[in-house]
Order: sequence, then structure tokens, then C-alpha cells
Amino acid sequence: MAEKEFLTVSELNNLIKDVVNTGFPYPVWVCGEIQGYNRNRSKNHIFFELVEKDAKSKDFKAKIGLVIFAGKKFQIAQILRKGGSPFELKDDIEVKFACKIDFYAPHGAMRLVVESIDPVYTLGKLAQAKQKLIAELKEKGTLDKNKQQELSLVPLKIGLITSDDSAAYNDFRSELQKSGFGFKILLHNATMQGKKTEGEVAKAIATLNKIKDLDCIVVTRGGGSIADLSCFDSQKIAEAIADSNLPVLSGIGHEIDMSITDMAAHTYAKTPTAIAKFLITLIEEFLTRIDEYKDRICNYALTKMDTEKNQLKNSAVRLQNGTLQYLKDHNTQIIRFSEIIRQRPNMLLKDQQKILVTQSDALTKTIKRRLENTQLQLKNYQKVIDVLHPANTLKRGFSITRKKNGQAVKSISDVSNKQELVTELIDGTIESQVVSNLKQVGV
Amino acid sequence: MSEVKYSKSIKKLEEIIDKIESEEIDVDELSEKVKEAVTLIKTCKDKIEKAELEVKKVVDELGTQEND
Repeated sequence: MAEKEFLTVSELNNLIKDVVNTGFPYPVWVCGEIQGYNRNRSKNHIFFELVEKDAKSKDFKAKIGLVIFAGKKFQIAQILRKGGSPFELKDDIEVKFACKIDFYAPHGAMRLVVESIDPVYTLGKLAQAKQKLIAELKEKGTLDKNKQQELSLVPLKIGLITSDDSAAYNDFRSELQKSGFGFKILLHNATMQGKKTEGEVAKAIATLNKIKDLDCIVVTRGGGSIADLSCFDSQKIAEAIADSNLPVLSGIGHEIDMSITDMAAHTYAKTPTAIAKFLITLIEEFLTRIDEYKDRICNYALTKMDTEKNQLKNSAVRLQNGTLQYLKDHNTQIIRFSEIIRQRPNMLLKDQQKILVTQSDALTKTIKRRLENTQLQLKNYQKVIDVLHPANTLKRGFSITRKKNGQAVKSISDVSNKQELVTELIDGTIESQVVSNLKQVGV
Repeated sequence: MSEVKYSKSIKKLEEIIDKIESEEIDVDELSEKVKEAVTLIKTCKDKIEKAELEVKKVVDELGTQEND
């Protein structure tokens, strides 16, 4: 058979297919991120792409088309369910497929035919991504911020974020109703599963924050697979919780792992019922505490009243004793004063009388002494007078010579020659005539 | 007549007694002062007795109340 100068398209494609089949005789394990899966998931054969992005920049690097044939869908789902921590295939998740490398000749297109999947890889990746996000949020403080919001001691007004037709809503509501406390629930409906969840929940948190008088926000849903709940490992929800001025409580059903929503929340519990019970416990504790306070106040008041009563009694006794003593003291004082008034004036008068007697005695004595003194003085005077009397002088031999006119002669110049003089002596007189009046020499 | 305070009466009384005791008092004033002192003593005594009675009465009332 002569060799053709060209190949038809189908010949070429078949040739390529042979080469590919020879080159890849066995399935190979391929890892990458799923894209374009969600819009095709309901189709019989699911066509989608596996993409490789740059580890750092996340820029697109390479991609390849895949197909899960209808016949493989059940088997893949089985493997995922058996993994223990099941997740669903969806866009944006990292997967590890065992694929047959196939060239589809009619379309001239390379494609990978998915034969099997290794769920451990995806779970690891999800966990890694989650751990990375947790570390980032921790560093930013996002996970702690809502815990600083003060939860009311009596959180009765609750903004509830859940799906309004869910069992979670009914569980939560009936648990609160059973308690008999006056809980009020304001329901904000939100999708609690899948891609829409983070946006709707974050928005609901912001919306409820604008409503007045709410005590807290509760985000709750029923249990599900890790894949169901992975939408709560959301940065957006965590940030909305951090920005919330109300405490956000989460009750997102899960068994094994804690979601990032739980971590960011003020308080978390595993189920809607558990978070409702938490709220009820708070109210019960509050009531118990109030009762305790009441008892303590009553006890304190009773003790205080007893103490005060006793003190009052003591004071009354002291008052009585004190007053009586006081009055007694004053009475004593008055009695003393009375005694003084009774006795003292008489004494005083007697003293005065004594003084008078003493004084009159003194007076008598003084007068007597004065008289005696006068008499003595008089005697002395007599003596002097006696000494000085002329008669006494005459007795001693002196005489007084007078002129006829009676004038005493005291000097020779008083007389002249032949003048008659009378000389008086003690026993009589001598009449004489002056013979000479010679001046006494040396006188 | 306005009531003279007990303390004032006692003070006045003390002054008179001091004067009498120290014998500073003039005999002319003595009887007058003694009269005054006796009046003051009477007044003070009355006051003490009255106060004693009232205190007893009030304290007794307190006792009765406490037994209620």
C-alpha cells in the first residue's frame, strides 16, 4: 500500500491517541485546583478543569480538562464518603485524581478521565488552608475581638441567624421556649450551606448590629459534613464577628473540628440546642445569683438590725446611767452650794464682828497710847519751861536789871550815867544809880 | 419670765459662792446675794429633779417599746 502524502484529521487524531496511549499506559496521579465544576455538576458526564496556580502569586500557570464519566460518579462519591471526613467536589478545592491520560480523537482534545480520587490530599489541603487562615486571623486579633464584648447577664433578646426552614431553627426556638423564660428571637434568614453562606451570614451580622436592644447574635445550623461546614471557615464571617458590637454566639453543628466562625465567636457550642441551653443556663445562673444576693442582703440586714438593736439597748442603758450620774453630780454640787450658803454668810458676819471688836480694841489702845504720849510730852515741856523760867535763874544768883520804865537792860549802851535802875533778885529788888558804864574789854 | 439656763444659773451661783468664800463680798450686799443664791439653788434643784424624772420616763418608754 502506497504511503499517502497526508493524513486526514481523524487519522492524525487517532495517531496522536495511539502515541498518548503508548506514552501513558497507566493512570497517573494529578493534583490541582478544580474549576468549572459547579456549573456542570448536574450533568450526566461532568466536564471541568484542573488548574495549577503559582504557589505565591496565585497567578494562573497551567490547566487541563477533565471528565468524570457518569459511570464513575457513584464510585468517586463512595470513596469520598468512606474517607471519614467527607467533602464534596466543588470549585476552588485542591484535589488529587488518578486519571487516565486520554486524547479524544473526534475533538482532537486532550483530556483526563478521572478514575479515582485520594481524599486525604484534599483534606490535608483544606486543613492547611484553614490553619493558615487561623494564624492570619489570630495575628490580626480578629479571633479575640468579639470575646471582649460584654455579654448581658440576662441575654433575652436574641438576633438569630439561621435558615428559617431548618431543623436548627426549630431546635433552638423550642429549647428556649421550654425554659419558660421570656426570650425574644428576631430571626434573620440566611443560607447556611454552600458558597452563599459567608456573604449572607456576614451581612446578617452587620444588619442585626443596627437593630436596637438586642443582647446578642446567635449563628446556628444543624450538623453536617466537613464540606458542608467548611463555608464557616470563612475570613469574611470572622471579620464580621470581630466588627460586631454585639456578642456573637455560634452553634454550628460539628463533631470533630472547630470552625473559624466558632473561634471568632464570643462563645460557641456544638449544636443549636447546646447554644440555647447555654443562654438558658446564663439566665438560671443570674436568677440563682439574684436569690443568693437576696438571701445575703436579708441576712446582712437581720444581723445588722440585731447589732443595731443591741447597740441601741446599750446606749439606752448608758444614757440612763450617764444621765443619772450627771444629775447626781449636779445634785451633789447644789448640796455643797447650799451648805456653803447656809454656813458661810454667818461665818462671814461673825468674822466681820470679830474684825470690828479687834478694831475697836485697837482704837481704844491707840487713843490711850496717844493720851499717854501727850501727857509725857507735856511733862517734858514743863521741864523745859521750868529750866527756862526767870525765877529759877534768879534762884541760881542771876538778876534782872530794868530801867524805871521796866525795860530790861541788856547792854551798857542801854544806860547812861546817873540813871536809876531797879535790879530784881529772887527775894526782892535793889534800887541803884549808874556810876560807870565802861565797856567790858574783849567783849 | 424667760427661763434661765441651768448652766447660767450654776455659773451665777458659783460666782456668788466664790465671792462669799473669798470674803470679797460687802456686808451690805451679803443678804441680797444670799437670797439670790438660795433662789438659784432652788431653781437648779428643781431643774435637776425635773430632768431626772423626765429621763426616767423617756428611758422607761424606750424599754416598753423594745419589749413590743
